Amino acid sequence: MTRRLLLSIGILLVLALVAACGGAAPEPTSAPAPPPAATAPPAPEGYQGGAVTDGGTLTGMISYGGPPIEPEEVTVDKDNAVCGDTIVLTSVQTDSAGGLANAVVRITEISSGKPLSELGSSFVLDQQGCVYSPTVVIVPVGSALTVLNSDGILHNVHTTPFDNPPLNVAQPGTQPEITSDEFTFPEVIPVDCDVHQWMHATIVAVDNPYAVVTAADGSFTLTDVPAGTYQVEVWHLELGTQTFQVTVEAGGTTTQNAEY
Amino acid sequence: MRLSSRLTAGLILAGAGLAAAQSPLASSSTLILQPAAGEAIYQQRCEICHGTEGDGSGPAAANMDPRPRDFRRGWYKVRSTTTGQLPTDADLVQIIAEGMPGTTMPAWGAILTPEELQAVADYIKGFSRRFERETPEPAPVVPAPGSSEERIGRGAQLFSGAGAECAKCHGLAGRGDGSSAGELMDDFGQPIVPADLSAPWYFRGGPSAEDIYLRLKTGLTGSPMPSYADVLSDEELWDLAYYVDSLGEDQAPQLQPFILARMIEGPLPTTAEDPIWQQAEASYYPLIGQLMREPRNFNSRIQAIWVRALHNGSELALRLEWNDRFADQGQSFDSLAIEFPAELFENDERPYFVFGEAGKPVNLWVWDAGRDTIEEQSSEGAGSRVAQPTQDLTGRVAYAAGQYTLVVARSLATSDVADLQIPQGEFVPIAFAAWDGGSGEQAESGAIGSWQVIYLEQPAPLVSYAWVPAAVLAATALEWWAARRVRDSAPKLG
Repeated sequence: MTRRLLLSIGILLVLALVAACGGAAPEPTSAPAPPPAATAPPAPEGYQGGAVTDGGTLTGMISYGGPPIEPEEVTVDKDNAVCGDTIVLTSVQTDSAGGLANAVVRITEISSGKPLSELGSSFVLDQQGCVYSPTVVIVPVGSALTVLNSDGILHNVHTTPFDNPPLNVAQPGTQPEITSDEFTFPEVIPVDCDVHQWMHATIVAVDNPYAVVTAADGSFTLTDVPAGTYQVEVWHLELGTQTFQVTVEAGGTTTQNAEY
Repeated sequence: MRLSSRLTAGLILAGAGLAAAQSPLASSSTLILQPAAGEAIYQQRCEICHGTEGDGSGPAAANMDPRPRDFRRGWYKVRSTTTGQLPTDADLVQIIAEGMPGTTMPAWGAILTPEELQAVADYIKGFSRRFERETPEPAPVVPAPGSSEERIGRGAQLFSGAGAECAKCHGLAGRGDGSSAGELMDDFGQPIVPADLSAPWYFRGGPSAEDIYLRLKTGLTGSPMPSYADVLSDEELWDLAYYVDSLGEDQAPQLQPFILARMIEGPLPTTAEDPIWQQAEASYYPLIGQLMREPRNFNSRIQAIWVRALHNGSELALRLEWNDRFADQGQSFDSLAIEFPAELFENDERPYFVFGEAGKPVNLWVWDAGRDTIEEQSSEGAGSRVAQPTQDLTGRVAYAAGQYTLVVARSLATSDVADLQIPQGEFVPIAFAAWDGGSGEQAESGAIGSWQVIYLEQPAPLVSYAWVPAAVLAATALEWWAARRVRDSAPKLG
């Protein structure tokens, strides 16, 4: 009994001394177990870019067949000299045959293919007449967006992403060009100007080069796609998202149309 | 065995104490603070507003404007880091400790220990995964160069000119009434208004020039306020910060013990611009939402009224000034009321300040932008406001650069039995209420304050001028008599 007591006193003394010297003191863990975030950010894809031999082509037409959507007319009550008196917002822009412009077609999961740089080297969003041009811009991760102010009046470039850091910078008329931070995560990012509440654009940050905005007639083409079966997503700001499974054959052309 | 366990416990405590003394980081309270401590504090203090999930939707959030922060995206207004970046730990701890003026976010610095503040900040960081992968760094800053007329002048140029165009949202006088002020939304889809820069004591991140410089540099993430770091030099940022700093005091004005109506000779001013008003001291009268009965207003818009008063022995004139970002007419109109008890009671008893009570009516002098009239009304409590049959008021209202001015006058004595006969040389209860029509405020749901008093300076009676010479004479006589007594009673030499 006495020996056990002495032993425990001895052990405790040693422990106390070690603790006093800072060695064994339990480090206060400051970070608590994080509660689950609303949505887990997708891990950055380890996309491998390289030469594609004998790739296929994915092409098609995106169209809108629903009831006509009238453009919205906004009466301008500020900066009329630059913005005009009326701004016409065409949320669903189609040609006479129903071809849908400003939709994005992209392969969502692909591990390798042509280099990301195939998307281009500069990515530009202009503000002209108090509207964005283009209204949808694709930017690869690792690249920045150049924002032009052709209006000579104050705009602010305000993004509200989920995973990438947000951006809200003033761009007075004295600043014809600013550059965003580089994008890190693929996602669809709204862009707004708080000075002119009707201004809206979308940045689609992508982590592979197989993404394209549909032309005015609704057509799109993705080239040099390695043969395989892919998830293809069609996205439109107002009309939503459609997903297709598409098989691309080596050297062949696959057509995938979609209608909203 | 019992001895053994006691000893063990004692030694553990001693060890803990030694460890605490050794390492400044591991103070005794951090040893108690397990990771769960932040969660426990959050559940006890924060969750009711910010929600279990940190989404800003706690049970108390519904009535709040601005809404409690949604922590899930890592968007924080008050930071030392560049636009888009997360706040540093110090930023988070500071905002929790100091609270956010003008919002329901209280200051916890006196309630939580520094270790507890850090623990709850760590817990809040857990709501956004961005904190796991981003390391925020404070933006590079240039120390305050000191204000000067030149700097303020250059800042004014940037503010309203093409250099920064702050007036687009904040208005030419900085009262938050710019051309883009009306339709702003925050990043959570809630309506938001630009800050009224003439009331810096409501600035969320603090009122000093240093605070303003940082806000200009870093922007207020989650709100429309952008960063100017990329487009203005630090020199320009300081110019602008000193100009904004010059638009208002850091501290809210103090409530005066009473409103003094000075007496002047001749006619009273009928316009707000009349320089005679400079003879009257401006008295600050803060307002809060009407919460005493339904419909309650938890987020009233008009914050305060500045009151000046003059009288000339037969008439009382009041000059009121209040900030309102938007002049609302038509259906949802702006309005203002001046309230007096309909009669004065011996024992200083007063009617209920929310528009009177049964048996104790109040007089209301009501301006409304809907009809653009200034009308005398009587009220005896909820929903009982009626226009008086006889109207005795004159007045006019003007609106410019986000500010109303109202001049209203009435004879001190009227023949209307429903009117308060306004006495001179007495403390008379007075209160004010204001409505921002554009925010849906009307009838009972405006902003209101409790009874203040107004004192009409009284001309001194002629006899009062005789007192001073009489007192001087009496004192001289007393002194002469005392001197004589001293001289007479002094022992004679020899």
